[in-house]
Amino acid sequence: MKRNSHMIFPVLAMIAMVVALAGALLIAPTERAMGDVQRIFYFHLGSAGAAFVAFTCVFIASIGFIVRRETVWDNLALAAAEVGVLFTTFVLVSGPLWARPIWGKWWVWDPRLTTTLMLWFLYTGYLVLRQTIPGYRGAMAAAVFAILAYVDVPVVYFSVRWWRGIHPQVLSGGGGGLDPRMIPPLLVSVAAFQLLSGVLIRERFNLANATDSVDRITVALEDLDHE
Amino acid sequence: MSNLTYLFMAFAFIWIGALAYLIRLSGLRKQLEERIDRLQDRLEKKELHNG
Repeated sequence: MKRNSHMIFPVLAMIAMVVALAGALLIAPTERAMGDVQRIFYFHLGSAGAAFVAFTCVFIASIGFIVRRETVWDNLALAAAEVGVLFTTFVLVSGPLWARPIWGKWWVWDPRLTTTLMLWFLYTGYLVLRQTIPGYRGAMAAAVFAILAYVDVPVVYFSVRWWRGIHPQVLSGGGGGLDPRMIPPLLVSVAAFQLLSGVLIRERFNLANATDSVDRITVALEDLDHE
Repeated sequence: MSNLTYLFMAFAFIWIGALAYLIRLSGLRKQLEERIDRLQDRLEKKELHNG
């Protein structure tokens, strides 16, 4: 029963993703200038929202680890960072697939695109740092790095306001000229991505805790061997 | 390539990516749960043996 209850949230997340897909493909209106390719927007923005929340979670958990020095905070930061990198990868792949038919180029060194790529490199660096330095020292170094890396999150968000680029302002320009009929499927998509992100962070967090349990039992076995 | 091909590629990448990650996590969790069970059995036996 306990093992089956573990599947409730992943199944709910998958159902929400199917509803979001239906909303983007069947309910959302076709954008006049861009056509059907604009429907990428619903998953592109959903992924970006999920990545931002995941990195905020890394930031909070890293502060938690520095203050409380408990492994559970470090495991939460690791889980959220990995999921954040996954969703940033979705943003960095879906963006160029949208840009190619609209801008005629896969990639432009626009402030929003460049700062998002930086974000991906920063948190991939965080994961590499976690792998390279084991134990408490590694966890502490990663926590400090994560707090500094978080500076890039608001930079990505405000980059379309601060610098002139070709990436459209969707949320930061008072609606940004978004067709009102696009808002319900967009909200459903954002909610579905947040749910999926939460499920993935929870799964990864449980995995990190289970790895700690294996380490603890192994140490206990070794201690008994020496007695 | 048509607009629909780009749309399909973007959606497919996200779906396959999310599913593959979820399945990988679920597989690793099962492996670890089995390993914890085995290690706990060994620990209990050792504790009994050592008195």
